[in-house]
Amino acid sequence: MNIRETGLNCPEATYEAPAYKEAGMKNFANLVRTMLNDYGVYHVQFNTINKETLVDAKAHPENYPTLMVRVAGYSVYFTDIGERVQDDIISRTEHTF
Amino acid sequence: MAAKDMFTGAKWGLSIRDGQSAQVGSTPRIQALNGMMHAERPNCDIFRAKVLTEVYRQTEGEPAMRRRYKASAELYRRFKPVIYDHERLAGWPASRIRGVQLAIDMHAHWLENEIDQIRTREYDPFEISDEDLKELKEDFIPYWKDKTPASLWAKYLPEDEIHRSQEGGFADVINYVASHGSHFLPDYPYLMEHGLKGQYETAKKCLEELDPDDPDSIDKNEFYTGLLEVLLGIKELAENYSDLARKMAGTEDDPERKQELLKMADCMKHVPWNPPRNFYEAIEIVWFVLCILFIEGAGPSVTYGRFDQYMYPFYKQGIEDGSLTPELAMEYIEELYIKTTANPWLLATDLAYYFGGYFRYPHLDVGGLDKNRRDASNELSYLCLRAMRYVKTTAPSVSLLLHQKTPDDLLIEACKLSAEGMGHPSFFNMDTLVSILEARAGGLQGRSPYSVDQILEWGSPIGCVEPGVMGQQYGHTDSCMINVAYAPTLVLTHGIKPDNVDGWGCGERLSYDNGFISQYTTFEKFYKAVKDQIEFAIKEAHRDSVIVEKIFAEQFQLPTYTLLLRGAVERGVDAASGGALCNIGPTIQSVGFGTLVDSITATKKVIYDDKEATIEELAEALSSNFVGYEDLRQKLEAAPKYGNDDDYADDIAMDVWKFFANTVRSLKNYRGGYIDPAVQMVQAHVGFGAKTGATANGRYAGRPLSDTMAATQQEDKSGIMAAIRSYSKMDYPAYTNGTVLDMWIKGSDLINK
Repeated sequence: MNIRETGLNCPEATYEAPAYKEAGMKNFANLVRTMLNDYGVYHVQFNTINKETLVDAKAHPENYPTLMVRVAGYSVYFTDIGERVQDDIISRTEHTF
Repeated sequence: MAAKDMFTGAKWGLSIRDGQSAQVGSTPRIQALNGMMHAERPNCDIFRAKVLTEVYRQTEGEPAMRRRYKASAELYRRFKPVIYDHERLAGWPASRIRGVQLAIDMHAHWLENEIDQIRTREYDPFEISDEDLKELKEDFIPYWKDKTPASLWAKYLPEDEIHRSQEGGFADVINYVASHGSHFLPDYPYLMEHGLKGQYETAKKCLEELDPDDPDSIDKNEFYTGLLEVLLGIKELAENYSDLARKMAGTEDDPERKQELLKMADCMKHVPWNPPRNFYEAIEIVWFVLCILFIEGAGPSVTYGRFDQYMYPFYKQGIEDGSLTPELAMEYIEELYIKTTANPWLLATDLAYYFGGYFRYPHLDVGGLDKNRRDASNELSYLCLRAMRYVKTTAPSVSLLLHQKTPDDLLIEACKLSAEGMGHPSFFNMDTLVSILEARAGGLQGRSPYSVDQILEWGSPIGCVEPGVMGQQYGHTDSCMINVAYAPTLVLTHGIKPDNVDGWGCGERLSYDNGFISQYTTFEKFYKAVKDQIEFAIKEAHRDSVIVEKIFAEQFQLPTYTLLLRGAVERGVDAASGGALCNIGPTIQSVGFGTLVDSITATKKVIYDDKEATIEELAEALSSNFVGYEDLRQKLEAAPKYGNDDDYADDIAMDVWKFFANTVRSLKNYRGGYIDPAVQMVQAHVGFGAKTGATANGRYAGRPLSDTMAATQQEDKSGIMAAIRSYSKMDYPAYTNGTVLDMWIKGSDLINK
């Protein structure tokens, strides 16, 4: 069985695949290829939560118990990091294609 | 502010997550295990402290190595196994889920002052019982507080340097001195082939062949005798799990669970002593090794490495003989992810702010190349990425090693995981990884001891991004932090820390005095002074950290790490003392790179090219935090910035990037290699920012610095392609300990919300 073609059969899974945007995903994959394979960048990782969501999570943390973000080199629950670190993550540049 | 602060930090985060949270996964078992983890709270186990104290009291005056080895053997023998519901992978490093063994021998000096706050602190609080707390305070802390590496290290340094190097905010070695037994790629490929029995036989043979007339045999006799006991201790620990599983099976009513427990009993009787017979036993080894390394070591970043490579033969065999399905393999992987996440890292309160969230930096890689330079990906590569989408845990950091030959399907699978917004996975460039590993620990002209075959077959990032080869490398890889962003300011304050910021030493000397400010009549003279400041910080951190390395090598041996290194047993040298093929660290990282570049660039533009103000005025503006200099601040802010594909800024970036790397790589470590540079350090740019005065890019005192190697926040204004073209100009192989780049892509560009 090759999961590349067939996917998985997990009837009791909680997982629901999000509605991926085909063009966005293609841009994303091309960006990673360009940065790494063409430009030689060693490592990159991405935050992909919308900025409005993070701002709301800061204001209403009780609604986001399991919202995860990438800080630098690791993922963490947004509520578990200090306010200054939350602000710093929110202040980074949110790029669009 | 204070009221608001109550709603951040792990103390608050834990209050809104419980056993009902994140009950997600591919099967009810995984959902239940995820719930079990969230129902528990991070907690301290004093078992390790108790055993270590007992052994050390009994062995006063005996050789250091004998004491450490005996302590490890005793820890494994006396550890009391627990098996929880739903578990198929046996083992925990502590008596409770989400427990951490309190490494009293590393932490006693700071615990003395902070132990009463450990349960209630805002960042990363830990549960501990009243009795355990009492025993720590009355017995273990007093015994150990003058024996920790930090206490021993302080005896080598003048008073001001001790504070400066831990709290000043310019050159910092605090993470190194308290996190010994860390950053490691165990030799899983060896265990999959030989089991621990192989190392036992090797050690026994080496001991028998020792020549008593050779003076080296004195230390080697200690080494082998101790190591054999440690190996037998690990065997006994696994067998204790086996016995417990069998006993529990005897009283289990549910026939299905009974079978699982019997299977676990059979597995633990067999591994890790023998090589695994199937996928289940192989993944059990992966997990069990992490447990023993977390019982012995205090630090972070024990890494699973090229999991999809060393596990694939067992996967393939299971699929072929019908004993495994992809779904079952993924369920095992999800259990591994949950249990990996349930290992918190205990840090002093200061550091908990930098590293907040309990994360202990485990890491798992997929993809890459094989030793014949073919694409190495397989079905497990996909399953490991897919498992994270189902189980949604913070750990391990899952990574894709990307190469031109990596199939688009696998890259898309990784991008889909990334689009879900958890921060997983990291993307690594396999070609750059190879280039870095060829130069690692080799200094400016030298080469690493690795062969290309070794690099291709088992090369892998450790922790965040630090490159290593499985089973061939030992050393701490995030040892010293240099706040490079401070350098231009310190040139203009005569090396004195301004008095409007956090941390030790406001108004005190952080660095040396370059002399009169009026001497900087040209940009070149100013820039040279900035580099001199950076060099000063690098060399001070280097001197301080090599003392720590020497203390570790002489007194803090690591038998379990040693026997998970290829060839260390034959060499007869402990991991901490240089037993690995490649002995790396203490490493030196730069923090605030973008802020540094923008500060130099703005000074060049505003002061030297456009002559809008004098260097003396800039010095005044920085020491007054721009009060009365708002006009100048705005001009500095308007100068060209790194991250926009503008060579005015990027030329400086390329030059100072290389300068930092070369300065670090010219320095030697205690065990005979060279020091490796990196650009990383998690959220240290926030903590360091709080200790940093105003900077010449127009940043106010106390504000965060730029993050890792990224452009300053909001300054990469020319779009994502311009930003990555700036990043493409940097010399990555020069950073032989790796680089971190964080980027943010708007989620709704990837997913319809």
